[in-house]
Amino acid sequence: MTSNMPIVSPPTPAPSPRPIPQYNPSSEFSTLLGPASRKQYLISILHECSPAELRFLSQTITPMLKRDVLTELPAELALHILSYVDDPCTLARASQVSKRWHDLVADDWLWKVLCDTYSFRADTEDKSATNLYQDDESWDEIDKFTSNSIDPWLTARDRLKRQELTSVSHWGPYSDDLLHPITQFSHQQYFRRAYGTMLNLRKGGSILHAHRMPIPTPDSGVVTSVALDTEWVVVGLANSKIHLFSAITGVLSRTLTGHELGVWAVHLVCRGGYWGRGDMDEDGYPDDAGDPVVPAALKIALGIDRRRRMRSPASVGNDSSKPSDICCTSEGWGQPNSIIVSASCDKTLRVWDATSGHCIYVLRGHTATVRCARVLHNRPIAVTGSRDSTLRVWNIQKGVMLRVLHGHTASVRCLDICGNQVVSGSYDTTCRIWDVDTGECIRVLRGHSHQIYSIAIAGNFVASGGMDTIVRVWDATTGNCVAQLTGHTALVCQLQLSTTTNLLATGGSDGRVITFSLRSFTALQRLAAHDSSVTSLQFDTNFLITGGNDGRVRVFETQTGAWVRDLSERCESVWKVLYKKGVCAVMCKRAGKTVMEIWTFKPKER
Amino acid sequence: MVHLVTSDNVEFVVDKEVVERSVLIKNMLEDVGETDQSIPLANVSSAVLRKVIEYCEHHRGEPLPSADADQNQDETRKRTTDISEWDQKFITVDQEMLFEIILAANYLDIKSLLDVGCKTVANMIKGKTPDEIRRLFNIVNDFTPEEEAQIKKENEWAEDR
Repeated sequence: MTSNMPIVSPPTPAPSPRPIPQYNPSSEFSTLLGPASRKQYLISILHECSPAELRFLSQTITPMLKRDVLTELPAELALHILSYVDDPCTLARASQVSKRWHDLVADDWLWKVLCDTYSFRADTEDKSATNLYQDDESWDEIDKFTSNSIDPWLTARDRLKRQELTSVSHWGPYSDDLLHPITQFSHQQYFRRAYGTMLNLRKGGSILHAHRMPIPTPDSGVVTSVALDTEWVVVGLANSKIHLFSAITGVLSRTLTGHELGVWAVHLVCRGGYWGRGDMDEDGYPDDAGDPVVPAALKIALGIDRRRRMRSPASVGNDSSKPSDICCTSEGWGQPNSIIVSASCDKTLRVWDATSGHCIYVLRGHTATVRCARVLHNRPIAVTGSRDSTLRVWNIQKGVMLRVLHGHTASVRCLDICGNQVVSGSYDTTCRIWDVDTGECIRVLRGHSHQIYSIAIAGNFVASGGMDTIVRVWDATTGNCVAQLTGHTALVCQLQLSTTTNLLATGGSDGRVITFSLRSFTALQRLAAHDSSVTSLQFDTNFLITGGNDGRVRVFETQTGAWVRDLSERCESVWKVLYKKGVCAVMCKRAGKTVMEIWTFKPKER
Repeated sequence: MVHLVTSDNVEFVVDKEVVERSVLIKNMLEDVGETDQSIPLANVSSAVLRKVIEYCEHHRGEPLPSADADQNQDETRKRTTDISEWDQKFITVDQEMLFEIILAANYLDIKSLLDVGCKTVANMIKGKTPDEIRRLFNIVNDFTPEEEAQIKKENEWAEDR
């Protein structure tokens, strides 16, 4: 590198002399040409200064050299700087510095970055601010807006923002967004809520309601299954009852009675959503075959006789990879009420309206206990697995069985859904992948040596576990076993698979919880979580929550495996724990009673 | 060798490989081809360019972030605020120079240097109270007492409990 002195001096003409009213050294200074002579001039002044004067100068100069970088830089650079401030406390403090800083920190993009840093992912539900379907007017509103694909009131910037969100959100946009434009969604508000919830989950939270019920005969009070969304907690019991609680207040809303024997599985279809089949009807049951015979109010609950809620075809493509929800819920098909599906020892499947508590359908077909049930996202299609060794596919809007999936030679213990693919695990030691729409068995996954108790599918991965203690991961396309994961010493009964975090978590009767990487197929964390069988297991990017027969509910950090806390008071046995968006349902046995606790970790609104 | 002329008319002669860490100059050179003509940099002073070239010299030969990597970074949002030891030393300058380096890195399109500058400012802010930040950058509090109280209340949620 070489640097030369100026080649040519700038041709600045010397200013013509003007009368100077009083001595002004700065004008004398400004007449000097070139940096060298200016420097010399300054040095000569400094030499004449006393130490006290020099100190004065130094004190004066220091703040002059400070630059309010954020104010003086263009906004995009200032925001770029602030995007590297990765803790909310500093960001909140920065907004109190000055008006300009306050405006900068108010930029929602910064909070979006912070949401990403903390892995707070807002879904469509979080983004639609107000409640829909409160009355029929809002329903008609939606229809009106649906036909209006471009909202003339949106500014170009808003439209850009929306496009960006569309590409980020895996649910994609639909009519809700048009009714409540996404621009109203504030990442800052959302971050505040999610951050407050996270802190409370670490050390805080409170019980909304604890329900205690005596257990008259042994085993009759056992909770077998729970489903949880942001509105409802559905609890299935071995005594054939189903309890329905509000997830917002924790209050018991209804008890659903009708099953003649114990309930083994419950599933909750969230209200709203959209018709996931586009222009297509659900096949196997021609639409002109007449409506099912149900009361008018329940027809409304199911969304029959209503215009189907569609969404833009561009984003429908994502549907095939939408994994099932660990909390046993699915996105609705556009129906106005939440729908509950329950499976029982009495061989039936029941479909209930959560709002009225009425049983809409009793679906018969299985010849033995129905052990597991799931509903597809955005379609009124339920799949059940039974001790009769079959799976069955049902249209729960019309109340009919569509097809029987034959193949397993023993009891079907577990199933999971991804898109229109079902995987089932059976006591015949095989897993099978099925096409819901054709009923065809696409793959038979052979390898386990004993009964299978847990199964999950996400993306192209299937994971299964059971009596042989070895967890197997399969390629869903080829049906090949791609990994055998060891570490458990007893039955593997709990399993969650996530392609967003690339993690598989398993829980066993040995009390162990193990997390595996889906990239390397190695164990990341081995936790001695419980003294006896793990009965519940659930994780997201930040936390792993487990429940065990030892009567503990425990919270760990997902990434490090570090123990965070034990939730709830120690009890005799935890049957089920589910967590969703700041609400946790703990089902356990304490002092000989069935206890159903509903916890909240949501921050208090100030 | 490439000839650069700064805003205060100082000429620098720099290795092509070094100067091409600036995407702006790289694109310019691609447009005009081989040339002995000097490139005027009207927005950069000699003092700042000297620092920028020092940075480019040190990082000579390192792979430039591709457009692809940029997207990847956006996707995973792995925004690390770490700064390497050499960069740390390099960027230990007064606020005026830091400010000028950020502007120059942005103008010359040297992403890694821009990031070093921005991270440095971010790290200066981290953990400080509003008052400490004001003192740090000599900022005048232009809120009315009412506004200040209101904004303080608004932001209480983020304070450690």
